Amino acid sequence: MRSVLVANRGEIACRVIRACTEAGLDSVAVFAEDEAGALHTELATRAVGLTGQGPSAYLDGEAIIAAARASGADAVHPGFGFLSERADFARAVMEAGLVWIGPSPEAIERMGDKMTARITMRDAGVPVIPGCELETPTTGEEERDFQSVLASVRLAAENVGYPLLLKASAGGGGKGMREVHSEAQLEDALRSARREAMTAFGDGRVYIERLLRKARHVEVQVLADGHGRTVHLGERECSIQRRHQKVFEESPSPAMNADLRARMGAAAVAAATAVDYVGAGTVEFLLEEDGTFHFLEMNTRIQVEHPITEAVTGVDLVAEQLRIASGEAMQVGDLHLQGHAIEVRIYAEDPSNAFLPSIGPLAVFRPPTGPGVRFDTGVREGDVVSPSYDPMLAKLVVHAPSRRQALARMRRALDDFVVLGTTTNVGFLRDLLDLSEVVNGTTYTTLIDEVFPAGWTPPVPSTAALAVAACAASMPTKSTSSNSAPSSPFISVARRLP
Amino acid sequence: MVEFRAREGSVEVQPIPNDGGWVIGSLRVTRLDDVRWSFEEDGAPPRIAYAVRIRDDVWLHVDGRVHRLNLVEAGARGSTEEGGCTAPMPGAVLEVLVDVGDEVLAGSPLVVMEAMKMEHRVLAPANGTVAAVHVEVGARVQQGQTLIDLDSNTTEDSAQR
Repeated sequence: MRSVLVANRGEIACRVIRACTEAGLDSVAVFAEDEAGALHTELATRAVGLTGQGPSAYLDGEAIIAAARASGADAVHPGFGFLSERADFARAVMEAGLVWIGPSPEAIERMGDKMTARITMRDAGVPVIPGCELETPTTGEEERDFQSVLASVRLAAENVGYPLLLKASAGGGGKGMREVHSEAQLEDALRSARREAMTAFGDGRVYIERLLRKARHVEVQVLADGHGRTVHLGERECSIQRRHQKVFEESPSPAMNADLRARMGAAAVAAATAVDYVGAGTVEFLLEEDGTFHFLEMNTRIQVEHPITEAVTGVDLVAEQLRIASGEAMQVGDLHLQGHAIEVRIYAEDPSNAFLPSIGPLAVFRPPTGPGVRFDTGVREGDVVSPSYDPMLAKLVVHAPSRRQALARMRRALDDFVVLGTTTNVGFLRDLLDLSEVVNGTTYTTLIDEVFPAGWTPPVPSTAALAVAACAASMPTKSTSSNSAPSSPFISVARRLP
Repeated sequence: MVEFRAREGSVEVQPIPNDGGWVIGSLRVTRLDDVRWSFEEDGAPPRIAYAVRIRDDVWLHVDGRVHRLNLVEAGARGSTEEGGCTAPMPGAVLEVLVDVGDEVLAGSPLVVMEAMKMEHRVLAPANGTVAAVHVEVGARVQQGQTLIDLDSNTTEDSAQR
């Protein structure tokens, strides 16, 4: 392996490209037409333009493989999202004679179909959420078909009990998923879940799981090499979410003890071995208050929140991915967790306006620095946040000797972070860090909805703040290449304070 | 006078230029560079804020919090965002405050206009010298019409485009 094409963009592309450079490998960036000059294209050894604008450019597997060939790359790293969990893409990469930096296409398939994954895990002795798989047709819009599906779902629901979750087998990211609290809601929920899943995945198969309330989302990092070694690298607590989107992650989990970690770690290793997993992967569990845990799903790729595991274990996960893909044994010793790490996701979104994505220039963008602070991003000052892509701008990670110190460090880092010109969730995150549930580590997946039922309200500026703002108002508009362009999309979405 | 929209109505602030900075009540504000500002109150240690104006908004980072403050006065908008001294809206010229050859500072008023029974000041987008005055008092002007030509001392603004 000499040159790695990174089939991604933004911060994860930058993360992987830097790992390649550190490993002495060349890197090839790809970019959509609207991302020429983006940070990841500058960091890479060379950059290849793709046809088209927006996310669809990064989803064109054929074009990406052609770019790899044209640029002399001999391996492909998919990052996360986009093509990372597409077995057909992994297969095409391998058939093109390139190294696929990830698990086998078979492992991706067996974990990608949620119902198959459930069955595989149960057979491997990994506890799954009480529920029921169903034999339902993949498609079929006719009423007769639907009535037969409904009948079998109703029967299974009686055994599982309400409230329950109706889930699309091909689902992900909350799509094709419905909470059902009583039998009366079942028909509507089934109809809409199947319709959504058929539209999004072309596959309307569903299964049901008992709805676990106030459960924690705890995931275990696993790493497996081609020399028969599979290890776990401790857990990540990802309970603070908003609409199934993680916001705040930490490692270790405040709910963890050595015995539980050993049992969950063993279950995660069993899950990986059951599908002959090779590379870095994440096994997600729901953890109940009494210490019972259930397999949720396995993500067959590097995870957004991988840096907190890197901080507490000292293992460079992306470097290990590269090492494992090149056929070497992993260089990971016995698990030894040190200190506490927290990550928050910086989104270009407006917490005071239903968390809608925001766009605009990053007129001032000064990330925090200092001891124990890591800032992974794909943007820099002067860039423009466009509406085309995922709104995650950056990941802010802190590491400190204790959880209390890590929280204090995160508060300091958020206070130090200056981003002007585009609305972000930084102020919201800062308030989140003062919640007693966060301070005490008693977090659960519905926390944000329960604590901020009416959304978040920005702080009122002080007199001193208004005075400085008044002086700044008399200055000419800050000139950046972006916000001075009259065609900037910023103009049309400028939102006024209420 | 600078007016910001607030949750209820608006807030007015009057910075008074003083010794290279501004004074607002007991506060003294100094500009450190393009985006950094220093402010101090009654002998307390000076503190740092980040502030930039982008069109009709002032974005501000102070004490770890970001504020986006919307300016009520829209008059200055057209001139600064276009980088030229053009009419921000159709209306009448009430006053012309400069002559050809005048040296003006960024943000200083050049023309006073009236539209929809409100006064709007057209401000200099940058430091410079007045090269031409295209309007006289009482003239009706269209939106976007050039009022003043300014030879900018700093060409950085246009070079970046």
